[in-house]
Amino acid sequence: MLRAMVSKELRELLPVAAFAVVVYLWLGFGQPASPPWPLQVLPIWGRAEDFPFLSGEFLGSFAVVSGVFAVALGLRQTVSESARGTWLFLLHRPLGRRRLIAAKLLVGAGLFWICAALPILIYGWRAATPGKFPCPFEWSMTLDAWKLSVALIALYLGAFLAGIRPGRWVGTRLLPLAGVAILVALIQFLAVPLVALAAVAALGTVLVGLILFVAQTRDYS
Amino acid sequence: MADVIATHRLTKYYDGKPAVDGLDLRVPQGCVYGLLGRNAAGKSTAIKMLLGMVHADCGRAELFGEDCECLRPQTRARIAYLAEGHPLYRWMTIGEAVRFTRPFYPTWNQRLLDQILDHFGLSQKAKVRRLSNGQRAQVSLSLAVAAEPELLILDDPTIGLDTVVRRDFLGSLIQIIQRRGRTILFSSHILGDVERVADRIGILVDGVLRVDCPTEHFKDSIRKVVLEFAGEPPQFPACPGLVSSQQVGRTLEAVIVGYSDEHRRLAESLSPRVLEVVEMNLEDAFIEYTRGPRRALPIFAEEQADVASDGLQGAA
Repeated sequence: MLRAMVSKELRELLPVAAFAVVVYLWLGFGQPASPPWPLQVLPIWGRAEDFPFLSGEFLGSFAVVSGVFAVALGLRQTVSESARGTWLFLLHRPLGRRRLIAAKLLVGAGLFWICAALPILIYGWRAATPGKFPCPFEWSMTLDAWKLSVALIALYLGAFLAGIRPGRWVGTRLLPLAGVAILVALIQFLAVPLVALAAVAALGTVLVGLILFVAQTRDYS
Repeated sequence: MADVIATHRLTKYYDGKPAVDGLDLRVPQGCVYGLLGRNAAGKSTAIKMLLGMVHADCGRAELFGEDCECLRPQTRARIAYLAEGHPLYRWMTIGEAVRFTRPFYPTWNQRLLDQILDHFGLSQKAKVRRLSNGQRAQVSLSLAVAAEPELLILDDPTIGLDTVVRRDFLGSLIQIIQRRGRTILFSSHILGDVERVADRIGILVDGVLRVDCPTEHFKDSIRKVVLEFAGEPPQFPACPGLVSSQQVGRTLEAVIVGYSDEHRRLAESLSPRVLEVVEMNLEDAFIEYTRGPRRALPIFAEEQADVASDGLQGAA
């Protein structure tokens, strides 16, 4: 049952994930002379003269692309079910509402993190390859990027909550997403990684609890 | 016989107005129950409350004796639900929809599914998005039936289907009903469909279940009394069972539930030139019953005492 559910979610999310990966790789390694309009605002990383992970370009672009990706995933999993009227079909499957929603969350969060980890790993691997960049490289330099990638899972959960929670889009519906975005930004200021991780875990737990509560108590009319 | 569906004072408000108001409904095992009502009468809301998709503001509902608000997965597996509009994942092929649905049901009957799809002429390779409304309804029905449910709940299953497809769909439904005496609850506002299939009907008017009785009994107990006068017709006197009365030229037409000698005497007391009592088909009876001036609507429960024959059960 769970396999069917996971496979369905993956099928639905893969186009979004593939698009995000293409943008990550293109920004990092395509090094275009003049990127198309929406990407012109984002700094390009991975240039030969950069200090990997330290010169600021990577984290800026990574935060924007990953943030948009996280929100897109969360909304894709919820709003599309509402728009197609398939909540009624899905939630009548005899698995239990909490488990169905938990399966969605696991797939979404897992996929997000795997995709977000990809550019960090590839960029880190390139930076660790001698002769690629004119500076020393330690994997510890990637810590901020990892911290951000984990913190953005909370943003994904915030988007999921905004999508599943009934309300007016121009009103209170986006409030949880906005609140989570602010908290995620604040978490970045926590210098001790373990504290940041604990803060993300606490925020994530609250969000998952809220999502399951809303999923259980809202009307699907 | 045990009730598969039982509700007690089930109520739901939207924007302060009752969409479903104190619904008391009992559907015994093996019954085919047609839930009728005009648009926005509360049929879909009632069905969604039965399935725990919409939460009741008060009252409660049970399926197989279990609270609908927290149906166990094992109980849900015994129930097939066809939501209005037959929502399916449009990116899937029929085969993928089958592979997605099958693992949830331990009683899945693949042979039956293949037979039904074959009967409908549907290929498993066909994309759901390319199917017509009728074909999507057929896929939904196939998926629902293959799980070998004991209870089928269908929310306006024939809406949007053309006459031929609707007839085929209902034919299939009848075949399904005949298998192992399943219990079926379906909502509709197409009376012909209901007449062909349902043993028993319920009519919701503004969220209130006004009628709950065998289909034939509803038809038998509602009559149109046509009175012709030489001059201006008088008002039909207020009496138990009077649904509506209207003047058409020199004719007075009154629709009466549970027509009896008492009503005949009342009609004759108006000294009409001609008095005719007309039987009505289900559609006419439904229209007359649901469109009349709302304040004049009798609640069947109140009329029950006046109706000589039994079988009507007031539900309001």
